[in-house]
Amino acid sequence: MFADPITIIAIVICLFIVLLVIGAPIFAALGVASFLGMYMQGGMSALLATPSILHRGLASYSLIAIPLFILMGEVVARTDIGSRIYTLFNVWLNRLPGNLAAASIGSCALFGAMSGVSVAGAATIGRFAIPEMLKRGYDPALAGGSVAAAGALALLIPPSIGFILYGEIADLSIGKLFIAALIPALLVIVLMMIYVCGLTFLKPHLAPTASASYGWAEKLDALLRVWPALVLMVAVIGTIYLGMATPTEAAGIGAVAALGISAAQRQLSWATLKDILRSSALTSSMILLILVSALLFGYLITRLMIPQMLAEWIGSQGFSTWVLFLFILGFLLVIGMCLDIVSVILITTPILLPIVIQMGFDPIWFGVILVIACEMAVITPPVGLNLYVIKGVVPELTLKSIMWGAQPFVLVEILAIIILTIFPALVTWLPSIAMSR
Amino acid sequence: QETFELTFSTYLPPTYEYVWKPVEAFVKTVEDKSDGRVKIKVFHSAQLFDGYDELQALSRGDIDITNMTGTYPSGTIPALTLFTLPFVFDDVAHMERALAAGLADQGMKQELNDKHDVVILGLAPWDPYEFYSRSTPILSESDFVGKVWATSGSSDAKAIQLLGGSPTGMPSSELYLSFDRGVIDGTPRPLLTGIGRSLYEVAKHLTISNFAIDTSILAINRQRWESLPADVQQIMLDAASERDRDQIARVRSFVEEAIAKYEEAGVAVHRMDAEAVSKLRQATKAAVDEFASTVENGEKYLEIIESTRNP
Amino acid sequence: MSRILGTASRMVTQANRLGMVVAQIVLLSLAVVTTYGVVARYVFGRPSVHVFEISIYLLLIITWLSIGWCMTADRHVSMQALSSVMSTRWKRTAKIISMLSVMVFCGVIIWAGSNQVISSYVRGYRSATLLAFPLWIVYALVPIGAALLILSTVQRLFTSPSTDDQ
Ligand code: NA
Ligand code: NA
Repeated sequence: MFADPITIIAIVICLFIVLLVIGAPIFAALGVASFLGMYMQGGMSALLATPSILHRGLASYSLIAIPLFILMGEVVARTDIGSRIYTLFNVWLNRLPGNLAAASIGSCALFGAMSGVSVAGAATIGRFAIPEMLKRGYDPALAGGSVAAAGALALLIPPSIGFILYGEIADLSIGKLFIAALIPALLVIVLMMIYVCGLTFLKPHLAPTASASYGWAEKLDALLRVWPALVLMVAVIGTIYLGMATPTEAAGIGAVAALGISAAQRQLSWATLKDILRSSALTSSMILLILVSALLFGYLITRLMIPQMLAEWIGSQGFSTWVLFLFILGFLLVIGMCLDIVSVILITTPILLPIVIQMGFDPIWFGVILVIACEMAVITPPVGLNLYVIKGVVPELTLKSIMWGAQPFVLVEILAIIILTIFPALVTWLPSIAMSR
Repeated sequence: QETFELTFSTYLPPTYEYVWKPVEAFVKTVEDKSDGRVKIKVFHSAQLFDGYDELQALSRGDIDITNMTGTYPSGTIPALTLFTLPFVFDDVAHMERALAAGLADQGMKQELNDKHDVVILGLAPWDPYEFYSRSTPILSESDFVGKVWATSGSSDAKAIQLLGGSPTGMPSSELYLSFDRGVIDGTPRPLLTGIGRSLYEVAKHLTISNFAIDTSILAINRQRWESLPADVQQIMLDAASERDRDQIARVRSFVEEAIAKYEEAGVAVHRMDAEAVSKLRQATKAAVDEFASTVENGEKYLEIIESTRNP
Repeated sequence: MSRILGTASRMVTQANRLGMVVAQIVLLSLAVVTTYGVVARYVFGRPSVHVFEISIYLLLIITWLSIGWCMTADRHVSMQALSSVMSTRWKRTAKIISMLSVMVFCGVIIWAGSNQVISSYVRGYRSATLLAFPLWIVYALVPIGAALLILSTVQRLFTSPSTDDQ
């Protein structure tokens, strides 16, 4: 007991990896490894804090949106509301390689404008988008990976919990951060779409396009048949942007509206309703349990002051500005592998921000970079919440294929960071003109 | 020579300067004066526990020292609702006088000690709760009616109800978006919270009326406290009083700076005159009466506040 | 002996099924309650003071009461990539160790969680709202959830050793 922090964290990570490899549930691997670390750090009594950490991680207003959006996605998937949307995309965009993957990325981006929680988007869109893509012969890795990655756009596109957290710790205007994120968000969306379309252009077998060409009658018919999806979108986006509801409340309205529409179309039997509720409850509890278990790990490394040590080490090496910045990016990537985004922001902002400001970088610009790093964090194993979300909502996909499908998007995000680093004005220009009055 | 390693945790980030700087000075003073026998590890920005959990974490001994904001544990320790009762304190100086006259000794200190294993080292004020409103100014009682108000505890919620508004409990992290989207029309919060949460971007009006004054309670775990030698305890108590004085001084200069900052950001700042305030005080009297009749020693707390109203 | 095991297993299933039914009802209520919150504010002009707090409690109920069934239905995610290439004997060992890790996880939470429930009751923790809700009730969901999960894990370990090779 009371070993030094480095020894403790080394043992904890080893145990974590062993448990993962033998196929223990992710929450248990995270939890048990963290428990061992907490025990080594402070004895049995240190473990008494665990229910408090789990409870507080869960008892948060913004997380309420998760089961509600999952419920909405489940209803959309069980009825033909979702399939009609994909028929529309297929009929209208059939000349574009990778059209459905690109359309899914677009849908996730739209969802990102409604919600600030990354897993909600991946779960809702993924629940109906991925089966539709699979049905049309898409490669599972491409289908799963693109939604896992694009779901994370909710963090970058305002409203975003990430910027609200960062804004308070860094003492910056949340409004400026939101505005600053607009161009980078557009950049990431475009890069992601270029990637899926380019990939499927080069490897057409990954995403077969419908060979038939559709006439205007079919196109019009497909368009007219998406009205239930439009009603849902108006219910959710409308109530948020008209100032009637918080994103969390809008999720409830969306779920109720989806149930109402499917009942009105006589697609909702009592048995289906029970099934939908069971499946949604199971998916959300699975996700939330992993989320709170990751908090235990975050608590442990905070207590051991591991991030401080790493940052001090990096700071003491006398690196030049750009090498230092590379190290900071690497640090964020590594930290992001094992933590949820709330922990990433809470733990790294106070440590990194002073270094970054001293290096002469703009704190708003860094906030955007940090949030993009968080987008990567939710799709990098071993703790990549969106990967598990996709596995949860589409159980027939293997975790392996989702992971491999998602990793190229990490490179896409890195490319975005490089572009924003070379042209920082892409971040700073919009807030400077929007708030200069 | 025995050394003591203590863990300090607060949910507040260092950017909340008038709370943070005095705490930072407290830590440094204790470490210096004890010649390195005491080492305090500091965690801020809710890295370990958030505001709702600080009392519990302190009672369990997960952390040794914290700086609680009074409203968070006020459901558990009803006497702490005193600090968000409507219009009982005229200003920060009034609260300072009441504290000096033994306001905290009417039971709350004892209850924290006996029931929660928490020893209070010092008490300092936040800057007063003022009214932020989204589109129309709050100038009199009628301006509260029919509006949705985000409240933080039970006594501010009760006061809003009495004024004809509709209170809805909301943590400060939700305020920005709720204002922005029009989900709420107003909120009573300190100016510091408004700056930390960028409320000057989403609220058009700010009304200065000293609605309530919350506290920063610097506290230590009792077992840990008792394990410290007497001289170290004395060093801590001295450093804690210094922190209280420091925070009071900072709050005083903060308020005017903050108001200037709001004005600069385009917020219309209104100052409620004494007559209007006294009308509001009358309208919300029932909340204070309820405190007096339901909280142990409630009358006594209010008497001290009354007797220290004039310097 | 096997009859006792059978009975015990059925009781575990019943307990988890009950948890699941409650979670389902509560999920539907959560959707209705959040929607009601908006309607109360915009249609009736009388926002509810309690919706915010209550919906958080509903979220806690949904999560903790369904994690047990989540195990029964094999919906907890794990990385099977490596264990899938192991030999059958190693697979069994790996399976047992991983189930044990879930039990350790639950054991710690049941122990620490009950401690928290008791101290919350004794110390009288309440939420800082007009509801002043006794928090020991809310905290009790944590060890209850862990108990459902551990029961379901033990049940899987003993009753379905063959289903893991699918
Ligand atoms: Na968003
Ligand atoms: Na990750």
